[in-house]
Amino acid sequence: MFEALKARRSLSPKQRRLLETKQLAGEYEPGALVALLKPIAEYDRLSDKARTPMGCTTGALFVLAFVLLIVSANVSVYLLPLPLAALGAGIALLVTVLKMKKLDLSNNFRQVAMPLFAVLREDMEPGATMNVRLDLSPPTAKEKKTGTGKPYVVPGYRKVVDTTYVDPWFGGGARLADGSVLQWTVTDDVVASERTKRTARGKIKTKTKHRKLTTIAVDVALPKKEYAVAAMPADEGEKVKVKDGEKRTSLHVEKRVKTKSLDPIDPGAVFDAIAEGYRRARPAGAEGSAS
Amino acid sequence: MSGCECKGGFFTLRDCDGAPAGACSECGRTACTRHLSPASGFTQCLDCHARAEQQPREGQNATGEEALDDEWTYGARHRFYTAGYAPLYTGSRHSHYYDGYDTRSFDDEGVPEAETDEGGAGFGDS
Amino acid sequence: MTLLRRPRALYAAFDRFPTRKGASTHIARFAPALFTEYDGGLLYVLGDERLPAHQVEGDVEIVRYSVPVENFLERAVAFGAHLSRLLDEAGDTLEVAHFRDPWSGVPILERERRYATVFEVNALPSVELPYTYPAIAPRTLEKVRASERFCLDAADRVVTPSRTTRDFLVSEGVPAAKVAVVPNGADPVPTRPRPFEAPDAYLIYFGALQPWQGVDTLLRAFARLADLSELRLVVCGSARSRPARAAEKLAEKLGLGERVLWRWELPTTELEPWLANALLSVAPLRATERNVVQGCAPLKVLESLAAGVPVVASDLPPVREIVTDGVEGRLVPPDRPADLARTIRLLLHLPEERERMAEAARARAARDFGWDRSVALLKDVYRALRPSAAASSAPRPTEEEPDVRSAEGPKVAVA
Repeated sequence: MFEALKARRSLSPKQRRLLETKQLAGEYEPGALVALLKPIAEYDRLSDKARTPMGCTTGALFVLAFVLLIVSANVSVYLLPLPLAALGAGIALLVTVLKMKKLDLSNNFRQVAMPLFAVLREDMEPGATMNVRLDLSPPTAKEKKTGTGKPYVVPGYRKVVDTTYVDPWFGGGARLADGSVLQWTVTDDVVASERTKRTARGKIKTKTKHRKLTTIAVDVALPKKEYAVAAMPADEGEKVKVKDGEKRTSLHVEKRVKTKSLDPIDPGAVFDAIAEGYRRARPAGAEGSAS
Repeated sequence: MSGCECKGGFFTLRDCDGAPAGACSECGRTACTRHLSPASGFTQCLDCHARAEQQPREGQNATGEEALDDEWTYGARHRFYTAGYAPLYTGSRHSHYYDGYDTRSFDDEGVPEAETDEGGAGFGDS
Repeated sequence: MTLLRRPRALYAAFDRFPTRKGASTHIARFAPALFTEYDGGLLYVLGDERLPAHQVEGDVEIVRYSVPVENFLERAVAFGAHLSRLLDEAGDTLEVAHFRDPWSGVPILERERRYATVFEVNALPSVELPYTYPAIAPRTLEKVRASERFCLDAADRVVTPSRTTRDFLVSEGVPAAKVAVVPNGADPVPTRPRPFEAPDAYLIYFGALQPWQGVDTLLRAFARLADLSELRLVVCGSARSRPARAAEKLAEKLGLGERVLWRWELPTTELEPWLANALLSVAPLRATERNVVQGCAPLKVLESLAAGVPVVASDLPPVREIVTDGVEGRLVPPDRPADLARTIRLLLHLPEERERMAEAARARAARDFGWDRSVALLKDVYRALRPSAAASSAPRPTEEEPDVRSAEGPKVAVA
């Protein structure tokens, strides 16, 4: 906990603002962006790690306060400061946990966006900037909700209500060192299924299950001066369209990844989508020769 | 040959040509400060170090978080290429004339080896 | 790496040296020719964990690239990169650089230089690699070919052991005047006592067993000679490589069993008695692009002549340069086991004919293929490259054989 708090205290005002708004948009040099975001990522990681034990400690403090209150009422009023102190500590901890919870960032940030920035840093000219739009608020935030379906019944459950969300959380564009222009968007379509059932003991319980479809769309515009493009079948789960322009050949790659939780996708999926475009590139003048 | 002989880039490769700071003890390439691996005590280039250190949790610092530094990037690059991606090389150095796509033709263990005759080149025999 | 000498001459070969292979014999003959012309020099070759990586022998410094790089192309490129570093040190004092392959040639030729360059073409990787790496990507092969082209264009002189290869290079656009034929040689092999384990009557095949050597044709032909129960075939392989093991399997499949004797990596002193006492030496080269179009100069044929052993070889242009059908041996259509078997059978029945051929073989080897003659031709090439010689004359062909065919342009069409 103290590590997390220390990490938060060491954040610059700009980093704190980012943590609070959970929104990042603008032109950034990838190396500088990694440097800017790394302390935030570190805080987020420590905060994720600390929150569960902190929640338990809060609960324990409230229980302790209640026990001490009973003890002091029966033994001596002079013991009253003890339960009050425990209560105070519990409240303070609760406030901290809630604040940390509020500042929690989607794990997409650490596990998908940051590795992509680090990789693009390698593929861009030093000092070149990229355009980034990153929304790190939870995918099931109110403003991302697109609708709630009618309740229905499935075997084993009394009632299921599906709520859908669309979270276009990540997008950007960059000119790479080889002259290619890369653009990407990552969108999560989330279905939160609220399932209500009666347990064996007769209690009514509600659980929420998530399904997520992540669509990675990548456009790689390859300069014709450098590259020719070879026709190739797309991999499973991917769609590739080739558009021939005057100076560039644009490859549009769409890759879909289904998951049964809100956990981030493997960053490799984004790399694969970009690679799927580059895989078709051949050095100009050597097209068709690399079969 | 002057300048760093390592290659930069991830999806495509290009020459580095940075000011030479040393040579890799594994592959012998001249490398600049950026391409010598700090984790190897600046004795190996980032590529050779990545090859030597390919473990599942590679590229993470002591606290378990991805360090996202050059060491991490070159490790990720090594894994990405090992998984089958062959980057195009856009540089001009003759020693980097052949790229990963080319060397792959010689990787296939199913192909009978060159007349390796005691590990030599095996060609040009009359 | 720090060189101990300031060499005036460099001989570079992407070949392990020394080994039992023909390439190694070649290096052992040609590199000293260069070094005697330039008072020593630097020999840069491949090594392994058994050979010293750096050694000085008299006025010759030997550097062996011994890093065990598994991938062939990566090894070739790393070998070249290391050569480049040696040239950083030695480039200023070098007067001539002789190389045998594009892996050495590119680093030698791509830098600003004051030294003269000689490209010795025995074989081209772009022709031979597809035999050993059938799945090689066309783009990669094209790159290899382009690097060879670069070397052929940029080198001051090109030497090759075979007129077939010379004609091939000329047909590829290399100026005829730039190419000199320096034939391979073979020194006379004295009569040797029969090895104690040698059978009474045997044919011999010796050398490497790459796919283009046609050892499978020989084994199939030998299977047709089963009625000659006393006859044996002795195969002296330069290395027990994968194709060699495949040949052993084929012999087993053909039921040749103990009729074939296998010997591996024999040093010259042990090989010569086997060769000298054979009835016939067989060189069943296949009619492949490597042999027919690119050409080769099979040392096994030359050495057989020098040992006075009649040769039965495939009737191919590079072999015709060495053997005349019916004089030093017999030439048979390639890849035809039945024809090969028939010719061998016929010669086995004609001992006087074999004796006459043996004499003719010795005479031909002594007249046309002594190493001294080859070395002298090579030295002519070096001398013509010296600044004083270069000022007085343009590169001139040194091959003085009667039927120089390429002076006015290509004669061999390439499919």
